[in-house]
Amino acid sequence: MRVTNRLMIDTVLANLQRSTERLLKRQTQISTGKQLSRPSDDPARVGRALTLRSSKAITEQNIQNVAQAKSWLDTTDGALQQVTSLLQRSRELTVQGATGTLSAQDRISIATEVRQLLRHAIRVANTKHGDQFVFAGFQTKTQPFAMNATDDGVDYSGDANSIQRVIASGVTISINIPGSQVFPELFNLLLNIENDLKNQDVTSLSDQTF
Amino acid sequence: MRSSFAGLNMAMRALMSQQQAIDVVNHNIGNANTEGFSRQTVRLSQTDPLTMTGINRGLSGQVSTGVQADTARRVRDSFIDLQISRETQTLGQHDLRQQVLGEVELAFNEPSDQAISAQLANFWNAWSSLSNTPESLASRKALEENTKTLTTSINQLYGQLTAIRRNLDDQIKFRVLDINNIAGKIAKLNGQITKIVGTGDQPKVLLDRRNLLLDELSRLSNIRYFTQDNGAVTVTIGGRALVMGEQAFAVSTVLNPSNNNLRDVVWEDDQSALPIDNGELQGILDTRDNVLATQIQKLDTLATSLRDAVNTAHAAGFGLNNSTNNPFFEGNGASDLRVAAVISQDLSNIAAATQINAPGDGSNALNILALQSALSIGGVNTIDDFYHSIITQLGVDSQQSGSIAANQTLLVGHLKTQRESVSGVSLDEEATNLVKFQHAYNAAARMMNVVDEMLDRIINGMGLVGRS
Repeated sequence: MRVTNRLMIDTVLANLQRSTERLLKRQTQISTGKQLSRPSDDPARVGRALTLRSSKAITEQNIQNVAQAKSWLDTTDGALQQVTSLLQRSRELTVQGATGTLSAQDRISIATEVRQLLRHAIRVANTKHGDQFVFAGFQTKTQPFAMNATDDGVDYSGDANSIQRVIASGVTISINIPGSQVFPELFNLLLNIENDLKNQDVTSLSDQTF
Repeated sequence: MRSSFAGLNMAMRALMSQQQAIDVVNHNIGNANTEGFSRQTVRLSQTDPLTMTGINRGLSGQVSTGVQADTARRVRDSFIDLQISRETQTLGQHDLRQQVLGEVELAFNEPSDQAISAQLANFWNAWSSLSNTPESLASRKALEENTKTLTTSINQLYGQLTAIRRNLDDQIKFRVLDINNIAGKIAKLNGQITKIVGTGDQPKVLLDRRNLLLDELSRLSNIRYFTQDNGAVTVTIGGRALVMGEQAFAVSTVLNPSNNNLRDVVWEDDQSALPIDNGELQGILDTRDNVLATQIQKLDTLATSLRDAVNTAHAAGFGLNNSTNNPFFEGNGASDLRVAAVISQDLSNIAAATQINAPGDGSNALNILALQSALSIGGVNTIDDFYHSIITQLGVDSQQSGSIAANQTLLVGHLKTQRESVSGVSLDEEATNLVKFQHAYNAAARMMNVVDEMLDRIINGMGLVGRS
């Protein structure tokens, strides 16, 4: 082939240009720390990267959801533990009240303590997780339990719905116990004990089951 | 017998011929770096011999009379020119496509943490968060903000894509001006060239200029050309003449109402469409009418599908204030998708619940979150997947154009190397020729001296017998 001076220069320039282009690409990769900076760098991998990124975002959100659900459940757990110790105390008081040797006055003072236990139980039933009442079903903004006007019963203003939380794509769990499933029995028990104590009804006291 | 003075003439011819050859070398060296220049060669040939008759014939027979220089010719391989013209057309098309697709990629700005794919994820996550605390206004506000970011990005992307498209449309106007301008110049050169060819000369400079223009024109459109016997070149696009002899036929554009009032390229005289299938013009038309049109349409599909799916689910739910049947999105498509006014006015209208009077009910938010994995687009794609497929398709298109453009660059480069190999000036060659011709010139001058001395001997030195 006949080689001219310009041919040599043009060829060298073209090759240099290509090398510089590759150099720029690598330098961009190094300086940005990214192998893929635009879709055409590798369409298949970019597509995969996008899918992975959105999976990652979903997973991160689900981790938050799980953490929140766990903290809700911890709150519920704590409340229920208090209920247990409360039950224990009320049992002790009942046994004490059922003792035949106790004076009527003693039973009345035990009844006062039972009433306090009841108030405590209502406070527990009104436990909040953040701003949300835990035992109110969907009525998380309404205090679910309160003494009724005549002071002889507890009203429930929550509902029986179960709250669902997403913990993985398409997987939900129920995280709440509607208060109506747990507390009315407890309240009734305490109210009955109180009444028995007030009425000095030792037989009925002995029949209370926990 | 020849004339005594014949030697003088022969030496003069040699001087003139070598000088002419040196002039050509001079011209070649001067234009070694001139774009589009074809090197010239001068061919030396013997002049016609004299046939002596009668007594003059003597023993010598025909008498040689020296050298002459033919007119310089340009060295050019027109077959390579034609190949370059064709490959340049494809190069032009894909260079432009790659450039436009690069712009589109920048507009999408994927993969990144700030672009639509990330914002879509944030949008869905905001619904997930809302389902955790449906009674909280903070969660509702967060959802509204995330949605606004998403819709603004979609609006902006739509705007950018439309702007790129409009810009391409403007470029058509400029390319058509270029074509007309170049065609006019070629027609004018044709006129000058035919006149000179008619006199039997070769219009070297004009031919070089015309070749340059043809190369330029090849980049723009799918031209074909051939040279006629009179030296004029006929240029056609799709079989119809753009330049014929000294006449150029103008190309123009008309707005096409059935294509968003974008321009069509037509022949000026009868307004019929120009059959463009290559060159930069094809690159522009194709990206404008196919690539970008598809991208814009897909973005619209994404926006309307998102709007419809979310709105349907949203309308079925209940807000904190028990409002129902409210839309979540408003707008006709990607250009104006936005959070519905009724939501922005009162965030309580966000329907997170599936029943009334249930502030802690996030089940409708969960229903909407479930749309993330629902096949909302044509029953085959989720919204996220659909968006990802837009990006992947864009990447494939851009990568493909890039590699075709790179290949064409190599191919055209190779062809140009071939052309340079044939037509380019080699300074070594010219220097060697210069030495060769200079020696011949010097020898011819010496010859002149010798003949001069010989004549001097005859004229002044002979016939002196008897003189004192």
